[in-house]
Amino acid sequence: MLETISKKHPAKGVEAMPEWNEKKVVDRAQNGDMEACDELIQQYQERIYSTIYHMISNHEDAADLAQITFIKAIRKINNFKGQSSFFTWLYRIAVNNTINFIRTKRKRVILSINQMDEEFDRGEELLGLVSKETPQRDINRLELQGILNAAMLKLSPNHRLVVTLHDVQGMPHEQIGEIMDCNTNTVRTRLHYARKQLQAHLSDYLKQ
Amino acid sequence: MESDTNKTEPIQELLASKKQEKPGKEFFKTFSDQVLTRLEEPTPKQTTWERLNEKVDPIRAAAALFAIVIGSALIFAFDEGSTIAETESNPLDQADSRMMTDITIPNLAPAPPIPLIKSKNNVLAEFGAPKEIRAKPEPPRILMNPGANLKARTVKGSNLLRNNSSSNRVNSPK
Repeated sequence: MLETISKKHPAKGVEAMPEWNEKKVVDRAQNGDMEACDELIQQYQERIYSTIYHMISNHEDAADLAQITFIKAIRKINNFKGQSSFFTWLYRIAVNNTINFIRTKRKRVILSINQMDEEFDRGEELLGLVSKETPQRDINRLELQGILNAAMLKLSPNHRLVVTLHDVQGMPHEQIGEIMDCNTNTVRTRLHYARKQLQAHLSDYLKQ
Repeated sequence: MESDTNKTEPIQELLASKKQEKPGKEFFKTFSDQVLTRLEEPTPKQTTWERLNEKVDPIRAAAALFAIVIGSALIFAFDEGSTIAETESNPLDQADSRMMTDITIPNLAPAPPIPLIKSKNNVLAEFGAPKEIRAKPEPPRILMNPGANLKARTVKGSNLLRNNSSSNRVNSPK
């Protein structure tokens, strides 16, 4: 299992390593090797950060929560028994932290949106999704981003999570089920409901 | 669920575009170092309140507290209601005190069992009523035979009640 996942997710920040072997790195980290911990952080930092960021739509809080996630994971790495992949285990920590954060800071919601990647050049294409009957016809890409993120924040934490993992990160239902500790049908139902909710929130802007 | 497979929906395209929302390139270069630096710092000891706050959802806790209060109030109200009902049925607690007295009398012999007499005429026998009660009551004798208990009185040598008229005499054939 671990071997399979390792092949699916080759290391991004550790080009020097000939082959990324998650199990070996985890074993080393469990033995107190800080270099192995560094490798694990570099391997998963982007995905963990972006999952948290898409759930709370605030860069500063997402950065802090991502750091806390890795700190907790490294401190408790000996509790990891290999029953699931390390990736799933790490995601669970991140997701639980984020949901707790959302619950405790429910009233303090401040959007702090990241800019789109400079290499990403689909701005016009995205704006093409906006209805011509939109109240603000000259809506720009940043505004559209803000509207979408605000709509995401109206979803419940579980619905937000499932949309983030599937529609934003492109994770399969089975893996989401593992992370959220529920079956695939529940994931599908939540995804369907969350999309409906988002569509309802964005009905003034999106093309029907 | 059909929308799950249909990838052309605008909402899904819009969500997929969110993947491109990324922090500056420098962010991830220093991220790992920041984590490792924070890892070496001693962990600030969480207060009990912080630990509780982390584990318990405040909304759920408030709901549970509210449910407990309502439940307690209901139990108290039922308890009070039953006490009032008992007081109303026995004003001044007389019945209770009598019962208490009766119960506490020593050597209280139980009532002898009453034999049930079943007869066609005595319907109450089936309910164990005593025979005396069950006996058919007779009307007062005076109503059945008026003047029966009166004694004849003689006034000046003649009986006032005695009718000596011939019309009232019955002659029996000899």
